[in-house]
Amino acid sequence: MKRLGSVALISLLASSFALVGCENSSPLDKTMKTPDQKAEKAEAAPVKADHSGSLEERVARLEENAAKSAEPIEWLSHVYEQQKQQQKAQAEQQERNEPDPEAVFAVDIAPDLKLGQVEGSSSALITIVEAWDFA
Amino acid sequence: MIIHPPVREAHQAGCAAAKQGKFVAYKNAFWEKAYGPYSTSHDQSKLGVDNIMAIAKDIGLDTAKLKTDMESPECKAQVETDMSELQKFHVGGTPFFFINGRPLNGALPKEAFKQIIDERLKVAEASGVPGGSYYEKEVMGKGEKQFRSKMDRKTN
Repeated sequence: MKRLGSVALISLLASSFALVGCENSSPLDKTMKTPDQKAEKAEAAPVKADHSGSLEERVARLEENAAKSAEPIEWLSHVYEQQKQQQKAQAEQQERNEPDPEAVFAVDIAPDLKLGQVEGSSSALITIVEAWDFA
Repeated sequence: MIIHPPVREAHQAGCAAAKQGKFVAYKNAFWEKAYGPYSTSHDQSKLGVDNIMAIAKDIGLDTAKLKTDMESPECKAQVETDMSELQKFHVGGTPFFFINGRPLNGALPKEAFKQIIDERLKVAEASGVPGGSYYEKEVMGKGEKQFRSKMDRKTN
C-alpha cells in the first residue's frame, strides 16, 4: 500500500459519461451576417425615401410600411423571446445538475475501506474519494 | 453505470486485487500497462482479461485466485455498490473527486486541489476530531445524504 502522508485516497469508480463540448463551425457562418455587418451595409447604401406628397400622404405611407413590418417584427420578437427562455432553461438545468460546490456530501466509503481499496494513512484528516473509470 | 463495458472486468479485478492486499499496485499497473497502450492504439484487447492476468502476474498476484474473485458475486456487487453510491450524488463523468465530501469535478489543475485540501484541512483541524474518525463523524455524520445542486442552494 502506498502511503501518502496525511492524505488518504479512496477509490470508487464511475462511468465516463462523455460530457464533451462541441466547437463545430457551420457553413452558414460564412454566409450569415451579423447585425453589425448588416448595419454597415445599410449605412453604405442609404434608403431612397419618398418625400413626395403632402404631409398626410407621407404619414399614411409610413403607417402602411409600419403595418407591413408589424407581422415579421412580432414573429422575430416571439423567436427572440423563445430563445431567451431556452437559454434560461438551459442555464437552470445546468445549475440543477451541478453539485453545490459549498456542500459536503456524505459519500459512503465503508465498503471500499473494508475491502482495502484505499491508500494512505488511516489517521489522515483528509479523505479524497476518487471516482474514475479505466477507459 | 459503466459506460465502457470492456473495463467492467478491470474494475472487478481491482476488487479481487484488493482481496490480496494489492489494490494500489494493480491500479497503478493497469493504468500504465493497459490503459496506456489502449489510449494510443485503441486496441480494446489491452483492457481485456488476458492483459489483466499478465499485469496481475507481473505484480505478484495469485492469478488463479484473482480470476475466481473477480468473477465472484462479491466483486460484481462491489462495483455496482460503488456506482450506485456515486449516482446518488449525480456523478455522471470522470474523474470526479470528493475532498472530505467537498465535490471537485474534472481533471483540474493541482492548485484547485490544493486550495480545497488546505481549506478542508483547516476545518478538520479546527474541529478537534482525530483523523481516524473525522470522515465518519464529520463528513458522514453531518454531510448531505443526497445530492444538492447549485440551484438548491439558491432556493434554500
